[in-house]
Amino acid sequence: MEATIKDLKVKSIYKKLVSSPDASSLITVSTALLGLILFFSFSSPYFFSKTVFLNIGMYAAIMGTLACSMTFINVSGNIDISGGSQIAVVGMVTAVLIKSGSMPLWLCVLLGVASGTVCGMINGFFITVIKVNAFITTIATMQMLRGIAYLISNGQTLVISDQKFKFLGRGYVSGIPFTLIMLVVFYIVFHIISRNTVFGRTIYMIGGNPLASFLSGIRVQRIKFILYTLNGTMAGCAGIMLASQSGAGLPMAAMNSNMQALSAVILGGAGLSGGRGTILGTFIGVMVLCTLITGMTMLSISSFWQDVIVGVVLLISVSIDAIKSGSLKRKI
Amino acid sequence: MTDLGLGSTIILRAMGITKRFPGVLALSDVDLDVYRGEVLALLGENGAGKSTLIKILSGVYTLDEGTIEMEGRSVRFNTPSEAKDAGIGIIHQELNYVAPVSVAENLYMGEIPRKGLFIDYPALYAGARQIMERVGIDVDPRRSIGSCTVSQKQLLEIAKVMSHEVKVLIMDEPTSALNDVETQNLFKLIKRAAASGISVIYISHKLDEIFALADRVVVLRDGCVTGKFMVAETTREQLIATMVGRKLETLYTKTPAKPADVAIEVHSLTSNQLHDITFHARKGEIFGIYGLLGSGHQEIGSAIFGQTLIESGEIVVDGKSVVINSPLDALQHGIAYVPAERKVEGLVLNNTVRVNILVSFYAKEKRRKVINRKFEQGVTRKWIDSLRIKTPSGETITESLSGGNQQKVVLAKWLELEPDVLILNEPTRGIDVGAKAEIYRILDQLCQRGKCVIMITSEMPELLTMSDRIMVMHNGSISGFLDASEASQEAVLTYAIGE
Repeated sequence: MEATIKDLKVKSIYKKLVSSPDASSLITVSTALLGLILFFSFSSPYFFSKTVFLNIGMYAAIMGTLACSMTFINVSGNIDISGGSQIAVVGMVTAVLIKSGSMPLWLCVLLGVASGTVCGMINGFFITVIKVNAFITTIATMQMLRGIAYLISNGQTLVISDQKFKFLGRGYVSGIPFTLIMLVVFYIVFHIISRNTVFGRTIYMIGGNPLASFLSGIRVQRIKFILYTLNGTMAGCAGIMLASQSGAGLPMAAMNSNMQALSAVILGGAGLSGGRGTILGTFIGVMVLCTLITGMTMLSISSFWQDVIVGVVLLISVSIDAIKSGSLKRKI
Repeated sequence: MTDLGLGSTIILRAMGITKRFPGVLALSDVDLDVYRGEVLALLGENGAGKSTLIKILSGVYTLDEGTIEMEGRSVRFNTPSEAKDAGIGIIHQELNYVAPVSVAENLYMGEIPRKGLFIDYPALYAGARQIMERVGIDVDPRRSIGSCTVSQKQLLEIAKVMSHEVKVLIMDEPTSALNDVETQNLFKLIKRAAASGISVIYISHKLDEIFALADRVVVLRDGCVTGKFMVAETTREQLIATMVGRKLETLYTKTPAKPADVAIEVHSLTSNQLHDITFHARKGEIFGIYGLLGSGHQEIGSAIFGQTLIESGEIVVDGKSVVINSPLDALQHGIAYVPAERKVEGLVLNNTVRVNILVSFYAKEKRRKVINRKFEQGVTRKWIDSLRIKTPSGETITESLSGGNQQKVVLAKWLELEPDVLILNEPTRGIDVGAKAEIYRILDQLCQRGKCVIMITSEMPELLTMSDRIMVMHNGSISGFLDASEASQEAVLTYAIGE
């Protein structure tokens, strides 16, 4: 008797897991990660090692930091494609400040991150006050901010020689890359926000139905403004890490980062329709992309083919989710 | 069935139609025969299954069980256009037009005459005039459809449907927004169509119309056919009994209000759609607001609640003038609003019952920033029990609940805030009779506890039985006030039509 009750419980938990779309995409993306790790471990004798995994973690930091806050943007039913340009601006601003030598390093870093915050606020202003469509707004700011990144140095690379600054992107704490530690901290904080705070809950409500949320007393536009500001701040952190890793402010930096981060977020289950997705899902999504790219590089697959394969993986993954939610049985 | 005396052939035959929605059996084993050239009335309360049935006949929904035969051949409509090609035309209740389209383009929708690559405007306008002539309407075909009156839109829609070869014309409550003269003209048109061999399925819950127009009547209740009659051989009483299936008193619960203080005053409220609205509602009463489609009665709730911009006016709650710029302001002044479209405005459908019940609580209690699951589960359980919400648990996704239970979730969200003024817009639209009765009971209890309920409704029986006082709107303005004792259907309609 007891066994059957336990059986029922297990069954209902299983049912709940499979029926919830968030859980369903978590299962898909975790399976993909496991499959990739197995595949690369068998195809390359050097893959399954501590160094490779730490490298993956380090590589993941830039894209992962951006993807973290981008998850919230997607869950709220919005989009930001200007993250890469924001990262470039942050790198340039930080490089100029450090090179000027007029202020302590910590202040340079802080102001660098703040420049990202300002970029996010610009997006937020147009999206929530003027109420321009989010996609259109960030198409515009993506180009505008990239242009500003070039203008800051007139297109030149600004080399940063400060040795302490290098730690932020290339340092290790007891054998683990500092960027990886930061990444894990970010994800834990964001996970707690999304699961245990009213603010996190509100993001899902807005994404699920903005009008009903507004009519329930939620300040929808204010929350959206905060999300874009937060995304700019996280782009600021990513920008500092990248500038430190490359030891320079590069106006053409992070050309690909935004699309990679967006791919990771979507892989993790936070599509563009809003109300869906989890921070954990995005984390695994980031790991999938980075494992894939690192593994393919180790197998010396050309970067042209890498692009093709990343695109195919994204398409397959979202197709599985769509089919699981019954898309083939719908007429439209 | 041939002894119905029509001496005519069956053109459309539906047998054993069954349709389920998550949580509700909308239609159960429904049979329907339609004879050539007859006007068949489909009678039933809201939620009886009339709309579901015609949506199946017109290809909007796919049936779960049953068969449809058209002139003896078995058919299955997967899309509205397949039904249209088979000769089934439908005039929907809600006329949703895209405003910037011209009358002529709308009439031709998708089959616009062309010369090569370009639109042949002279042919388009001449053709449109011809189509309109058939239903006796004359408007400039270049005019935008949005600028036409509701009755013009209605006639244009009929003209559009009849411009194709229709064998069966379905009309879903076509007179709900028409005045008497317009209704009479529409009836003449319908009779002409029937005389020319078109079968008309006419959906209504207005008995007068059925006696004036129909040859036969089929009555639906709770998704089943409960009676088929020749109109000439039946009576009002028989139809009501078949339609309602129970005594009306059990549906409505209302204790007359005692004299009490004013809870909310609205002074000269003016907005895009409202003009100089002044009224007050008292504690412990249900204040009913009625109007025909487009009269602005639907906008009053959203204007008071801070959803729409208001140009001028003052709102006084409990004797104090308040400024309401957003729903958040409104709920902090003790006003709650249950909107008309619960799926669009009331609920986050892809989230759980628990989360939907608690959303406004957190909006109001700004100091609560962290979620306490135990507390949430307690609140959810309380409302599931006291409002008798039928749901497997608080963790169920609200989308899978039936309409009535979804509406109770919206109510629970607001009742948790203990509002002093509860505004409801079409509180029982599209929900089944049982849930309706429970919602009325809840509203009555609120009144007895001294809360003020403002009920905006287009449903006459609900308005007349539940309201203590009634305000009627016409064309964005108030056209009259009535006390419950003096209110009758005729009196309310006279004000609503604006005469």
